[in-house]
Amino acid sequence: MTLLVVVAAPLGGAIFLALAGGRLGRWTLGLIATGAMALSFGAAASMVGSIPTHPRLEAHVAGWLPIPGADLALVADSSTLAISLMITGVSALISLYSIGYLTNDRGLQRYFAALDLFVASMLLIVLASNLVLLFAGWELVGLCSYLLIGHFRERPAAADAAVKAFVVNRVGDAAFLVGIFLLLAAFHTVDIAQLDGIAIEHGSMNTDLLVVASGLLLFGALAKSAQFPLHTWLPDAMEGPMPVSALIHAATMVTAGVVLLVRMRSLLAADVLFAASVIGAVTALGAAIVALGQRDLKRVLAWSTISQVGLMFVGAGLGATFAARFHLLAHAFFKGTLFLAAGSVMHATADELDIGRLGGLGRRMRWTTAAFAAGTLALAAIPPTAGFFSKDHIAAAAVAAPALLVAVLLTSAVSALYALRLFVTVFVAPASVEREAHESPMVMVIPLVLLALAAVSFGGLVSAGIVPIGGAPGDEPPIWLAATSFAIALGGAATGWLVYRHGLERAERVERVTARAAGGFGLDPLYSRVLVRPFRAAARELERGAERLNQRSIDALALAVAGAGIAVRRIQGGYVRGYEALLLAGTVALLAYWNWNAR
Amino acid sequence: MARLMPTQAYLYLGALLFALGALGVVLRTNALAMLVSVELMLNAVNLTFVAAAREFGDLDGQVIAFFVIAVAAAEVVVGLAIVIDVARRRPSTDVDEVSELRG
Amino acid sequence: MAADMLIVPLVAALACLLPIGALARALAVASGLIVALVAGADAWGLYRSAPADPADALVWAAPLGASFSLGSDGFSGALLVLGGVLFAVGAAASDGVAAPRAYFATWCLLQAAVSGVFVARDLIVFFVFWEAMLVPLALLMWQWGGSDRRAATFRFLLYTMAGSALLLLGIVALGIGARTFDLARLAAYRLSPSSQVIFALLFLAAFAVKLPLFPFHAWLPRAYSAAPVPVALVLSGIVAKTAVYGIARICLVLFPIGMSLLAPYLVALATVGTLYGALLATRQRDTRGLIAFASLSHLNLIGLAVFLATPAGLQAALLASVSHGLVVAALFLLAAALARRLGDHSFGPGGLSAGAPVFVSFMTLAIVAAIGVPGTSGFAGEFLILAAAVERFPGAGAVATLVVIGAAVYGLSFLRNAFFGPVSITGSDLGWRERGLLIPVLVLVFVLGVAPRLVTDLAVPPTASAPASTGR
Repeated sequence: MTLLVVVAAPLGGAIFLALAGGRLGRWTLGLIATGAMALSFGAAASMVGSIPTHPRLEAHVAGWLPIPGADLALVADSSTLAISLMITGVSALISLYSIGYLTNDRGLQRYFAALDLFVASMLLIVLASNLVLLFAGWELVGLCSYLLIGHFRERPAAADAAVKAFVVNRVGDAAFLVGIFLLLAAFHTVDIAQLDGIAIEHGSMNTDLLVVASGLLLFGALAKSAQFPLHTWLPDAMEGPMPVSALIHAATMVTAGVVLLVRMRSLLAADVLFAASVIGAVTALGAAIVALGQRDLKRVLAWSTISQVGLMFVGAGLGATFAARFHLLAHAFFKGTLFLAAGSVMHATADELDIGRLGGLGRRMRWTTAAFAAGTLALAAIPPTAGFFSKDHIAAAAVAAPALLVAVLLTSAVSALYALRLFVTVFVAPASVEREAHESPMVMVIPLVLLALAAVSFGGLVSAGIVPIGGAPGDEPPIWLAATSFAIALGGAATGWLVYRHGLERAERVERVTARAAGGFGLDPLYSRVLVRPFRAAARELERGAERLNQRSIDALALAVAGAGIAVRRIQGGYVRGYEALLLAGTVALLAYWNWNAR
Repeated sequence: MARLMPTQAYLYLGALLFALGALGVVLRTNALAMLVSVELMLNAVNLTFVAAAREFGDLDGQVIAFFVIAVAAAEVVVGLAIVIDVARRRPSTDVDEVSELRG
Repeated sequence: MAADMLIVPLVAALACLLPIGALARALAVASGLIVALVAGADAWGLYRSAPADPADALVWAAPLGASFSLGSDGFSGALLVLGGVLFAVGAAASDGVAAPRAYFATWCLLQAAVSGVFVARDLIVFFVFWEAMLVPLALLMWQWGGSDRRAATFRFLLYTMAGSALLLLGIVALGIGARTFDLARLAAYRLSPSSQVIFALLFLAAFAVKLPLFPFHAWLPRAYSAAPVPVALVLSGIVAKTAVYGIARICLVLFPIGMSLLAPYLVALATVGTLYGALLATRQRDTRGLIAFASLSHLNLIGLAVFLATPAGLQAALLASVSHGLVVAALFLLAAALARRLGDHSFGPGGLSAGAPVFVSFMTLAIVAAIGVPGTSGFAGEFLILAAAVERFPGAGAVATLVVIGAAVYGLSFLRNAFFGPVSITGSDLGWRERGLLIPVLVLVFVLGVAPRLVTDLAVPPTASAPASTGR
């Protein structure tokens, strides 16, 4: 039953806020939302103790769809419980932070309701016992993401980005759905444990059907986790409020693809898993380079997220589920820290996002600076922060595949470079524009500092075995690898410090090179040309051609009927003698017919 | 015993009268002449019925002939009334010119 | 009892003709609710495995083998409940109509005819009610419709009757051959495969036009736009379902082999129609046009499920039918509310969200249900249909699944264009009356989203007797 509370608490919070939150103030709304998440966190934490005796916790609520296995049922083990704890904990902190961040906002009721609904849906992805319920969570996080990206409804860019995010996700969802249908048709169940059982019974299967189904599931995971080539929605999604970006588009939702790969690992075809790790490596390195060219504070972090999730895909694809999960958790803490600190900067500087126009904030915002520094070090994978340990595990998993290992290490170097570039230009380098800046209120600072502490200490705690995250860590990364990656990270970080310490203007020559990468992989214009425009053109041409033709078909029918009427009308010309003649002719014809037949 | 007229003769006469009446209905344009032609056709039928009644020795044909006479009387009443009404409103009773009930 | 479904609306129709003024509307609403409750109680009885409703038979024309035979089962029961709810909601939403007594009397007649289609257990009775639907429907459109009403009604009538003519031909030929029109006895009458195909095509002519199956939808956009909103609501919400019912409970039962021979072609048409509707919906700049093409997409998907002829397909079709009826009702109510604020049914300037937060929330919920987000009945229906489709025709099922992308585009673009963006228009928020009509409908949408078995279990007894086609 406790397992049920984990999901029910935020869901109940969402429903309560949606129905009854109309007259509540900012603090009440925020505290109810946060309380629901904290309750969920508490419920999840209370179950940790029982894991040694009951490694598999289940809660069956009711039947749902008339499909074998598609019930409203939850299941948890040590690893999914660890992810649930992260989700509920981070979301509670971010929800608390939102109270201070969104002060002049009229849409707080829908904001907090959507935030609670998001947490419940995300937990469904992690805890659902079957693929259909998992898919329900999968779509619902997309819906919440849509609602929250478009939170500032009056801003056209936000409204467009929200639609784009949902539609790109739906492309992946369509593939995911077909994958589920194929598995259902082949194995007659959608229960994940049963599917796993089938997979284990038959050994690793590489049948055509399984490869296709796994590929489709992977495609869905790529869309949700913003991996190449379906990453285009995530940079635009930064139109949402900062806490939303921190929670959904950094810490939790974008890692759903990793969660899926980890949960379905026994079933997925081996070739497909390896493809996932290759795509992850390409994405990780490419996105890191793109991040280096961004000048928008949030977009640097967005591309960084794409890159880091790519690393998780490398780990998950290579079967290093522990490494993938470790990095997922560590990333949630340090990227959450970075986003929240960035939000604090925006709060202080009237929404300035151009890092060229920021600078020298280090002295004015000490808490924020310290937190951002902690996040930067973790992103750059400098020991003893969380990022160092988790990236090391992924690199260790990639030792068997040298090309992937090189990609991971290069990503590490570039990550350190852009992390320092960001930190140094915003906080250390002299400001190009003089401005007032003040530290944020305590309700924002406290969650920020707590997250930063987690970002710094989490890696060591897990490595020392104090905090269990489920599963066996596998082989310890070899010393030479740790040393190499440390050296690479340090090198990248030092370069970043040296190049950017006087501000972006002084690093003009470097900037001119890196700016070329700013356009990303150039897929947005490509998609616009090969997908969006043909889609629109098809709709337009169908409307002008087929539909108009179809509309005319009915007129043709009308004309045919009318023409027949006109033809027949001639007979009814009003000439009585004509009627008589016809009558006579008809009678004669009938008599002749009968006479003929009678013979 | 005087030989009766063969029934076929009545039938031929009836058919001839009927054909004449039908031709009259189709070819004449005067409404009165058409009514007369219709009467001719009806009586041709009567003749046939009565002949058949004699041939088979039952009264059904004669009964129907009476019905037809009664109906024909009613029909003449209605038909003549229409013709008179048309004649009052129009210069002629030529049916080709009275064609207002066009479909 | 099945006859109640006819007697209640007929009595209400007669009562509307009495000089009762404004009470006519209350009467029409009550008639809808009573039918929904009675049918709901019957359906609940089926849950507790009470014996199925025995057909009320009254010999009608013995030499023809036709009798006035009525009866209902789970499949028709679910649709009767839906019909009752929609007729009640539509009547309640009929504000300020001219000549209200005539309007509501015609309305109740329409309800009686639609209910009759669902309870007819004899082909002649079925055809009589099938045609009887057209008269009040055409009257309502012709007399109370919008600017294009005459042309739209004419086309609708013409197209539908062309299909009905073929249906009549099929019914007469079948009944004469089998010497009975009783559906139960006809089900035991086996035809050769080739004549099954011919009869199936004759019957489908009427059902394909009424559904409408792609490409027989030419009447649909104009009829939806020209009909008064409540009439469009029932036209899409329940009248289209008579075609689903006809295919599922007549074509599949009487011509199982013919339908399975035709299935690949029909499924292909339905798949194309599903995507075609979604694609064209993205082009609409008018709420009713949007609902029309979105409905075309949904109805073709439902058609696809029925053509599969598997138990899972029929369950899914029934659930999706009920879901589509509810969702389209919510959408039409919201479209009417939007039109009251903007003056006409076109949308575009956007920015309404600022002044009308509740309105936007309701609209978002309705759109979310329409595009099949989990938690709503729309998802449950769509998921089950596509799952059943992939099992039987993997290619067509996979292609049809693409509709979720198109649906996201038209649904969210509509929200984007009508409500979001800079504030350029203002309008009052939803009033309590508008909310009062929407809330029950939306609550049902979510209840069925969480407990879809309330409906799918109803489809089980009849589907158990449905032909198990190839596979499995």
